[in-house]
Amino acid sequence: MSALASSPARLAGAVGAVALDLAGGARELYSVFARTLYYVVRGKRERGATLRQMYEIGNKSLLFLTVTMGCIGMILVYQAGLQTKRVVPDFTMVGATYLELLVRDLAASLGSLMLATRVGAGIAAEIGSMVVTEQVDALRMCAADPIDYLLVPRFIASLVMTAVLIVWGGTVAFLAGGVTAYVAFDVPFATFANVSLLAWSDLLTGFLKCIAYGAAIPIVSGHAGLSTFGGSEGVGWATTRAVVNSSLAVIILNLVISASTFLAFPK
Amino acid sequence: MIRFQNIVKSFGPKEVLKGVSFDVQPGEVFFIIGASGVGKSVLIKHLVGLMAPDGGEVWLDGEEISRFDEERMFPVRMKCAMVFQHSTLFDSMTCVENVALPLRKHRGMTLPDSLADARRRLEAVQMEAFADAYPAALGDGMKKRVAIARALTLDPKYVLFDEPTTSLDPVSARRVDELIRRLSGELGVTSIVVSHDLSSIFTIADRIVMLYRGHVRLLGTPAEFKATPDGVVQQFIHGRAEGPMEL
Repeated sequence: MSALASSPARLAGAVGAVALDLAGGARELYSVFARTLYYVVRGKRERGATLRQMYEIGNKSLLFLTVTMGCIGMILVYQAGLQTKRVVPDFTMVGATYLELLVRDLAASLGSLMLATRVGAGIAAEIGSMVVTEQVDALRMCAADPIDYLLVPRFIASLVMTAVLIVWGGTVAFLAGGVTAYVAFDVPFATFANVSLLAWSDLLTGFLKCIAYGAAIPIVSGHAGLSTFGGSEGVGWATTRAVVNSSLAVIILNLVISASTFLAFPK
Repeated sequence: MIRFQNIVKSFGPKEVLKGVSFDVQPGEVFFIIGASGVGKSVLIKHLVGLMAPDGGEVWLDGEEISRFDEERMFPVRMKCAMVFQHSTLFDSMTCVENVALPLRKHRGMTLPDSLADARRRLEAVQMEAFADAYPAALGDGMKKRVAIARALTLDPKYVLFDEPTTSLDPVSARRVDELIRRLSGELGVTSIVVSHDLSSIFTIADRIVMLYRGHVRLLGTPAEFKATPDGVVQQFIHGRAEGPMEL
């Protein structure tokens, strides 16, 4: 009887613990974000630190993003073409619809999910290793706030390079889609490259997503790295957490921004 | 003067420090000893705000500092330097850049001035030849010397050494011992040393505190440690596998 009575209490306790854990995590993330913004304005950055990170985040992701976005572009247009052929065998609007979708959503979201794996894992592993080897403590002893010293250069670099990479990835996905449409469905590129459905609100939505994802990935991954504990196993967990949480952040932000902009700019 | 007063610290369900109290007098070489995991490193990190106690107070020169925020800790960290167990040099910087970092961050020195000063600091630990080398190219003993140079750049009043001779060869270890003794004798620096190295402990310590199961087991001079009838202390200082000590 007492075991039965205690079951709801135990369940409530477990749910409460999870809720408290989530609330604590959200508060910490907000604190990291607020301190990052503070140091973006007030901090003194090391010479070349941001450029180094731009190279790490941007240049080193270029090939990966080119290949993945090219493949995704081909798959999307091929699938869309097959569906179109089955329903209305008219391909004139495939390119226009694809371009609208790409600019408004897919280029930023898919590109950022790819970046969340490469960039997020890299940031968490590097900062996490510094935490477990006490280098972050040594930084604090040198009056260098780890947020200012480690996270801010990555944050600025990610903001800039995510936007650049997404524009590039979107272009690659569109061109790859164009080639697929021509090869698989005989759609001339002039027909495929149709901007008639593209509106300023789509460009604005895409731009907002670039900024939001570019900010979220280093913040979430940096937080995962800074909260590392234990040894190499802890670094492994931090890296996994960074990839999972960054991807989750991209998807949740996508939902929020998409819903907001659909409401603000109804089509 | 440094005072730890009734320090309590837990990690999850594990209570590591259960009310540790002792004072460290100016200019002395003070050793903290005890079995691995007893909370020696944790305790000294409380003094520089790298950890905050769950209970108790940390006093430094008449000021209670355990609740200071990061910014208020900056002056404390200028006064108290720390040499970490694994040297913790920054891999992306050369030795001279590592040593220059506290000068730029704490003192706001320009890059050329800080680098010039850092080179002088490296000379003092016979590492000037490796000033432009990256830490990855150095052995453990060399890294430790660079780490000590970095810790001393701000002319601290207190230096905390976390297992300074671990992983060093005997000659390098004795050099580090000499350096710690010299800091105290010539510059009046107070050193708090966390160590398992028995030869260091009984060569250079002025006083020793032994932590055991979250409490102070014994506080005294090396002579008092040698003379105590306490079986736990005797087992530890003689490094015996058998005895009353629980791990």
